[in-house]
Amino acid sequence: MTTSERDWIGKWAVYAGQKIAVKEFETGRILSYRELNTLGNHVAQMLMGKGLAKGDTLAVVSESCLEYYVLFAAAQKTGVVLVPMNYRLSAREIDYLLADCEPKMVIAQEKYQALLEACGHYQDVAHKLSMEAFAQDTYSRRERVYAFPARTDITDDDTIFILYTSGTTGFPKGALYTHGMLFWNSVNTHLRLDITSDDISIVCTPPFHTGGWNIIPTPFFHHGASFTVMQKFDADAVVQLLERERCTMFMAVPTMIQMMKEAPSFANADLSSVRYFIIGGEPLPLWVIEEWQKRGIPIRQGFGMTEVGPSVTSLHQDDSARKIGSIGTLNFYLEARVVDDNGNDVPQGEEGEFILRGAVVTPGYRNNPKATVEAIKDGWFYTGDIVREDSEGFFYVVDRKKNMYISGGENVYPAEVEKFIGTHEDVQEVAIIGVPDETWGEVGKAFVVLKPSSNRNADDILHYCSGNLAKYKIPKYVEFLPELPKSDTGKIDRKRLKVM
Amino acid sequence: MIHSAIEYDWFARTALYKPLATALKEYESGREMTYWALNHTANSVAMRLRDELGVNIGDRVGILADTSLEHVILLGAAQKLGFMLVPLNTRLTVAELDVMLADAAPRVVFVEEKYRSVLDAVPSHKLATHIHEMSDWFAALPVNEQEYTFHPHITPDLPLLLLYTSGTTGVPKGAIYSHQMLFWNSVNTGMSWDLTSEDCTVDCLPLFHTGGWNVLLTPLLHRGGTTVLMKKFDAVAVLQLLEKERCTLFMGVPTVLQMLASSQEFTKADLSAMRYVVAGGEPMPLRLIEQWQQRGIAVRQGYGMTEVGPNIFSLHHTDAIRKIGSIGQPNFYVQVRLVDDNGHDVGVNEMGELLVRGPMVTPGYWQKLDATREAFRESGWFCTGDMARCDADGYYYITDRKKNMFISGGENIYPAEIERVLYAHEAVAEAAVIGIPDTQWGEVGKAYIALKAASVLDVEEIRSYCRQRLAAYKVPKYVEFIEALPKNDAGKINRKMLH
Repeated sequence: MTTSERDWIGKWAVYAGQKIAVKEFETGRILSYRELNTLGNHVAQMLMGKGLAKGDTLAVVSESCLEYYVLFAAAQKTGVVLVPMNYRLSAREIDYLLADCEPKMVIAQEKYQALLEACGHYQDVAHKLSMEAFAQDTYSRRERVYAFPARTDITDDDTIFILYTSGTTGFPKGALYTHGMLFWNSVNTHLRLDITSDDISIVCTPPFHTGGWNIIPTPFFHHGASFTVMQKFDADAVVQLLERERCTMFMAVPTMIQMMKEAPSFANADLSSVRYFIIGGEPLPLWVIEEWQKRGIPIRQGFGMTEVGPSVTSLHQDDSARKIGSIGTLNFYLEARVVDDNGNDVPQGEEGEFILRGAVVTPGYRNNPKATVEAIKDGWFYTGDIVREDSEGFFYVVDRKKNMYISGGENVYPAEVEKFIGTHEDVQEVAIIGVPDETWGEVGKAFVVLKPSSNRNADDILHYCSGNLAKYKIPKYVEFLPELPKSDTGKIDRKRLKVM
Repeated sequence: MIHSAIEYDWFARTALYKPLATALKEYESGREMTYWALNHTANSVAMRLRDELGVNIGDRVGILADTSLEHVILLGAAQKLGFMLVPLNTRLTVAELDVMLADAAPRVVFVEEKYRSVLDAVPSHKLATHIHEMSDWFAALPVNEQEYTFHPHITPDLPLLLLYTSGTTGVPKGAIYSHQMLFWNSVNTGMSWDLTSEDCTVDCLPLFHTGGWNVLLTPLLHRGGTTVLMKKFDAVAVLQLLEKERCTLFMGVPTVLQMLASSQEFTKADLSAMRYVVAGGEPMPLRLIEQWQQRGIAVRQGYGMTEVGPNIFSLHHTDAIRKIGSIGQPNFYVQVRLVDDNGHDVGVNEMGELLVRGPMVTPGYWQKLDATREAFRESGWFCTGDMARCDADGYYYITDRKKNMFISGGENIYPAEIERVLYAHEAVAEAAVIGIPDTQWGEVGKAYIALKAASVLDVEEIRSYCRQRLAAYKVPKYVEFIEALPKNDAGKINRKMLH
């Protein structure tokens, strides 16, 4: 009679089976908690039938859809590990991920089949499913009753997701996201955002980042709440949906809310049910916050990352003006320190690296003990972000120790892009920096030193990137220099590049 | 700055998140406390307890007082320092308190002035190194904004509260309420009742029982909600407060909910902010559910007990009528079984003893290994002593009590405890106490007494004898003298025949 407490969907199917768990915007398809659970059971059976066991990996190359959440339900029941892959990556990049995570099964949308076929390691995959066929078959069974005994031996330390981030070394790292992180992140999120079963939201962040799963969907599933999933962000459609679904919250990056403000429906939409927007990424300027507040929508900002949480801090809407620029205060079940280069605590108010400890910290990166050891020391995760803490416990990000910029919500690591452009036969040296951009927040700018006698132009460089790097990683600007500015120790001086 | 070992220190967090929000109000005095003040005061109290009174992790600190802000401040200090708070039942007699104080052996006891003479008469109060009258000691709190850090090694099973229940053997047992139970009860309760930092309630359940602490008060403290503390239930005052404070929730036993519904204030008060009332203790009668529903307020039947949770079952308010009599379904992080006398699981609609397992179950009874072992006799499952069945839809019903107990006005009463007192009377040959229906209190006690040959005793004499030795609510309302008590073949008193 005991049920696995890891099986959140199974629990809500008992408590509120008829309640809507998730709707799909593009198709209008709906799954109640009962349906999501019965399909989760069915897919769990199917996975076991194909020989997948707890700890085995299942990669998905697909845009968001109901069946993605069915797979999540099955993962909670079986202990199978989901690897949501970034469909914007090039074949070269995806092949690297396939080699690293060695999936027993890949479920991919048909439009990504060609991409996958171009990956050498795709040949090694035992089970290859088309998402379209999988979805059609699965959805058609939603009225049926399937049972599956959820495993009761899944522990906090068992992995449920592998989430790839590019990382500062130029190679993607697979951050392990555990069942324990899933629970504690939900508790932290609930305690800061007052999430209840009455909440309703829209999710249009892509499913291949932690933000697409763990800011709204998984805390919502834990609390029996409902959301609509949208494959591709459409500002006007979101504004209309917020009204029609009587949404209580919405999560976005700054670029998205800017587009929503310009959407035709914005002026007259009834947004009175919205409790607030959660804005991740860069801090918003005060005037933007005030504009939304005038529209009756408080803005909550925060800080998060794949390896910790993701929800780490939250800034209460009432503090948005008083604490402008702050990422807020630390979430409940998490510890933080601010340390200098030697790992010693700096006095309050001074800058140092933000390090975090607690049940929402990743155990490490898949197949990458070196990166794990570098990131986690004595249980503390070194974020690479430089922060200061004020006397009231509010944190401010002042700089990044890690070399990274954010373009339209995507973290881009110059090291990765530089490493690839550096393989061009005519390129002697290259450095990438993020430069401000109205639409995307930041975009990449490449400074290239060509080999003597080369007469390549910017288009040659961009053409070389195309197809080998995800589009959002390809620099928008290319500038040629006779040499890169260097520090005394011979390292590239990125600060000087910023002012060039 | 290091935020370490902070997981169990709730007020350090809520003070950070909602410093200016009201955590507590005290109805009678009008005193209020923000989360900042609550944390700050708890820090000062913890520091003084440690530095002046030598209180350390694992020590007991007793409190004999009506519901007060200080109870909650002490809870905060207990989270920070790791001592056990022992809330003592103010309704008990000297003899009853003596058993508890001797068992808990607190290092410090805080006492409200009006209970000072009672405490002084309790022989075992001498076990305490320090006895302080509350208003004096708390008035002398230093006012500064210094930050304190405490680094106790708090483990999940470390006791936070010692909650005495009388028990079926007639001897009070201190149920350990651990730091872990506090957390998981809050998670379970929050998920079941959709609690948020916006919630507000009136708490008039006494703080010497788990209900006063853990049905709503501590789950709301975890989230930064607001609780109005009331020393003594008063129907009109509660209804006025529910309106004035825009309360969203209220918990009461059916007796209390009936008194509210019968009050003339019931129809007048603006209760539009109320999400629902939670009924605990016993099932609510249909007519009472309807009275509240007609008032536009949903009803949530719950079930709980000191040793497990307490909030472990809840009946969704939309099922209040359809599944009347049911305690609903187990909360999220609660595992349950129904077993027969041989420990085998029973089938749908079959009656079995309710067993409970999960992180919200007590580690056991204070210094009562045998009672602990007996409670966990089914390989780690807590045996509740309640008989229940589960219908085909997965809804649970309490059908009977295996343990000999009845509930009067929300208080659990154990006949064994009263019978022990009766048997101690020189004129009593045999005695048995049962609960009988009562319109106001749900049940009240009735004693059947067989006197020794040639003894004479009247009803008033025996009740007055009881009053000196038992809390007033335990004194049987009715006494009937009979020749001999009915027995079964084995010679045991047959209680069923008394009913």
